[in-house]
Amino acid sequence: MPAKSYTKYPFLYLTTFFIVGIIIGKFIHFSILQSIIIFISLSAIILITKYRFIIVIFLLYISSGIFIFTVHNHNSAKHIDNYLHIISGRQLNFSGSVISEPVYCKGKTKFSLSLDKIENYKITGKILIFVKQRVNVIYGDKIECFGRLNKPYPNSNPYSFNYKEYLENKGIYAFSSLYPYQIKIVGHKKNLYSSVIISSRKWLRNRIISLYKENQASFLRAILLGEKQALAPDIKQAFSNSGLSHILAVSGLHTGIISLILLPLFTIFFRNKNIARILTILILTYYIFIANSVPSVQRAVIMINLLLLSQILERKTNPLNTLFVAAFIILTINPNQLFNIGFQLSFLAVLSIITVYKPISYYLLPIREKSSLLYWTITLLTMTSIIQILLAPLTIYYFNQISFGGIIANLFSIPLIGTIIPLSLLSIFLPINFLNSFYISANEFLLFLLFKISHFIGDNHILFMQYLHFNIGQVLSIFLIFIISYLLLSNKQVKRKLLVRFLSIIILCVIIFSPDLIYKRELELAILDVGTGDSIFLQTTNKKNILIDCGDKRQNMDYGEKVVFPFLRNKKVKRLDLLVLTHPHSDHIGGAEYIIDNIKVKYVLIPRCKYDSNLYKNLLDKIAKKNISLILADTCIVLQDFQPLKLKVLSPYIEYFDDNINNYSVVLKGEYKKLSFLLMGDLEQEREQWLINTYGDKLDVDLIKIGHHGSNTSTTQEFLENTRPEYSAISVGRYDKFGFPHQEVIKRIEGQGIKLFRTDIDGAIIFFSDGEKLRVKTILSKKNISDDSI
Amino acid sequence: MKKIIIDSFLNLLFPPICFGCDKRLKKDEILCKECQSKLIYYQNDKIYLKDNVYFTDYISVFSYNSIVQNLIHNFKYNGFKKIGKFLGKEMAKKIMQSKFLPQINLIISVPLHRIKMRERGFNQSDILGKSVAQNVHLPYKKNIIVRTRYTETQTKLDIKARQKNVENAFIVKNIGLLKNKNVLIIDDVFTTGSTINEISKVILSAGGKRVYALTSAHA
Repeated sequence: MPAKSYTKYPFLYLTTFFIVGIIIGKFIHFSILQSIIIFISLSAIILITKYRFIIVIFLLYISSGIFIFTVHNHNSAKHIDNYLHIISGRQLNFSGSVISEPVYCKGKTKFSLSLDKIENYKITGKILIFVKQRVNVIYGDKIECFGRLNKPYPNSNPYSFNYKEYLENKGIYAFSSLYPYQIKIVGHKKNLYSSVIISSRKWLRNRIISLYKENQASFLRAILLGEKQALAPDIKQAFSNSGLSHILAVSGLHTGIISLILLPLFTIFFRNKNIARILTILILTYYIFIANSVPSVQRAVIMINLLLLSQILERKTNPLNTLFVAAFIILTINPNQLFNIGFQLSFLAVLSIITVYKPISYYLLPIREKSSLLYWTITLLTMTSIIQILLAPLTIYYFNQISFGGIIANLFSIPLIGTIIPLSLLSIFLPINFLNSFYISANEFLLFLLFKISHFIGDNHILFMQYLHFNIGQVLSIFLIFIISYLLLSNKQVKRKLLVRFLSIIILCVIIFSPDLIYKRELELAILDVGTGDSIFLQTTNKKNILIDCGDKRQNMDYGEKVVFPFLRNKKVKRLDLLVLTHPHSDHIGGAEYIIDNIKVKYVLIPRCKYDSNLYKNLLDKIAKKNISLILADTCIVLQDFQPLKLKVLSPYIEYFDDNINNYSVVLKGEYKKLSFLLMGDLEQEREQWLINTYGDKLDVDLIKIGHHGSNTSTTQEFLENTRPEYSAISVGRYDKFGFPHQEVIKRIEGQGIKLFRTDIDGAIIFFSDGEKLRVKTILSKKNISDDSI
Repeated sequence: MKKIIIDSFLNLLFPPICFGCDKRLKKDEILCKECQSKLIYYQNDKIYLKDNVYFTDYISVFSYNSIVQNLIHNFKYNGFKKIGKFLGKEMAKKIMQSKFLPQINLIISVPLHRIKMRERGFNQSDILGKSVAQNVHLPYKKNIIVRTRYTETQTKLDIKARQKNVENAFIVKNIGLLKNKNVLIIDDVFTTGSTINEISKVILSAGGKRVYALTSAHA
């Protein structure tokens, strides 16, 4: 707080500057010593000079943010992060203690481990363990493992989930996938946390499971214990589509209801209201741990506890200040929470209630005297629409959608949840048999209603907008507009110039969004990182979309679902004008089923070949069932739809026959003004030779997608000499089991002076061109190369 | 020193705010200077009940205005007892200036029904009464009179309805304590006087000599 002026919201300023400090600390890496020096020297300025400049005090808050972030994310010399470059991917003995309750999902077990030793070296740090079957470990177990320790890779595709950052925010730097026989439990260490919190959570969980049907039990576990893993995906999806995700996260709504039950309950037993308040504070704090300490619960409990504390101390509360106190406490404990989606959403939702809804609610009060039902309906409607609008930039940024159904869905769901939670608590804690069956059946009915509402609204596609995309700059600018508008409109002193203010807001909006509105005529060729496999996205200057292959589908990884579809969704691609499946190997067509199921496809281009696999058969069935036009590849085909881009099929001709499926690969040549490129599929050397013989110097291109993931059965010296590309790209996985890309191929390419990009090193490779110039952007290696003349 | 540190910390967590106008205060006080200056001290002690008045004399500290309304609302419904203490002090000051103070032997407060007591957790008149008694050094007794009937809030009722509402709502529990006493009744707000009049009636019938009334605000 500035020394001489007094503000109603001291923590608004304190926390804001603290947050600025955390952000600075994240992007500029300070050492602990540096951050201490900054902090101490600023404190010294304040102590020595008697003038307490506001700026210096604010700088102090910023530096304390830097300090907290640096200290929190500091790893000692023995930390695993310092050794990962040596040990990653190697089979090793390691031991440690289990520091989370194991989560069982789809027959697998997941838990986190605090390391003691790797081989015989003392190494510390937290890692994540996946076990491919169900194993019975419990919190506090000491275990010894033998297996690979892997480094999580940062996102290597545009718009994809950054798993590395997600884990790092949780303090986890490595993971290991093991079979049960690779784990040995060698001991157990009891502690207070495991004996009290986990056993009570276990008791509650078992009680819920024993009382309710499976999917209702998993829902109650999510809303009471914060355990979302058992929740059925369709319920999750329905709640998210109907704008009810906040109900699935234990938040202010839930803790508010619980405190509204506890406080009157304790006042019955204790005359002194303060004793009741203190007991409520204690139980709610205990509840934070029961509900897995998710950020929304932390925020809600801290806010309610501060409210109760203020009542005990007989001080007026100020919700805005209290909200920022809560944020300050949470961020001091773990500054990484700032980058957690749940924290951001929960915090912003409350902020919008306090700053926008509250002043408006004042105008709603007269309705209350007429009809309280109408009043509550309008109140809920305004509140949820305000939250929905103000959170829209974030929901678009993170989930690419906004839901309008949420406004209606919340109207029914919030009162329902308000009854479901007390009924559930009654059924859990009051073991009176005949009454219990009454609560449970009532509760089951309400849950049934809630699910119906969420499905009804969530399945209605008109009510939500998908495929939206904002970049971080746009999100920040929108919030800036919100803040500026708020400040301009809420200042009551000068109301006359309202029009001027509105105009200035609109001008601001236009300035921020104009770069997006100006239409860029560029061809985009994106070679996605789908491991060993292919998936190439091509967007023409008139916004036609072509996808060539969809990546692999393995037991636990569908590249179509996890990489290609999210990419297309973020590119706002609603229809594929052409899907090319170069040949039927699974590393090229595996993800296609998911794509066809989720995006409209106009044409599918495939080679005419027989291939006996279930995957291929099912895919062809699906294409037939969906009435998608099928084109069989032939050398005479020139795809005219994509003018000014000319796309020709160079191989195979329609009668082509071979035992080697790779040689059926559809080879495409694209020409756009001065730019030309070749996409080789998995074509091998015999057919490369045929291409040379057939097309001669027409094969001369600027850019080539190397055939067969850099295998030495393709890309001969002669072929490179005939195609004479300047740029080349190999789509291949890290630690490929065939040893792709082969060194000979790389030598051949580099020997010709051709610039080479590899998805295993560079991540997704994206080429942009206006037909005159070429720009290359890589996602993992973050290269950005421009070439002014092709 | 310790108190200064704790106070400045609490001022950060819960910045003190004026109960009258919502402005930030420097210290943990009740009203800002501006609001204090806006308080109107009640002057002409008139009684609006025409007939059947059972109490001898009546005084009140403030005239009811928005600031007093905010104060009493926060005191009664939000449980800020420090406002009660503030009002109690003001009431004590007022009664020290009055002529009838030397005659008073006993101070009581308007009781709350036990259900309301449970809801609210405290009786606002009781807090005022205690505070007044402490300041003027007179005996204070609670639970001499109890409210036996649960009555609706009187805010929306007119004089007639109010009189009817409180009729026979009180009984004396401890008759002996009232015999030949001059009693001062304490309440938060004096609107029509129906409540105080009803209690006065009960006190007189239990053998009390005279009844006086003191409230913090006169509506």
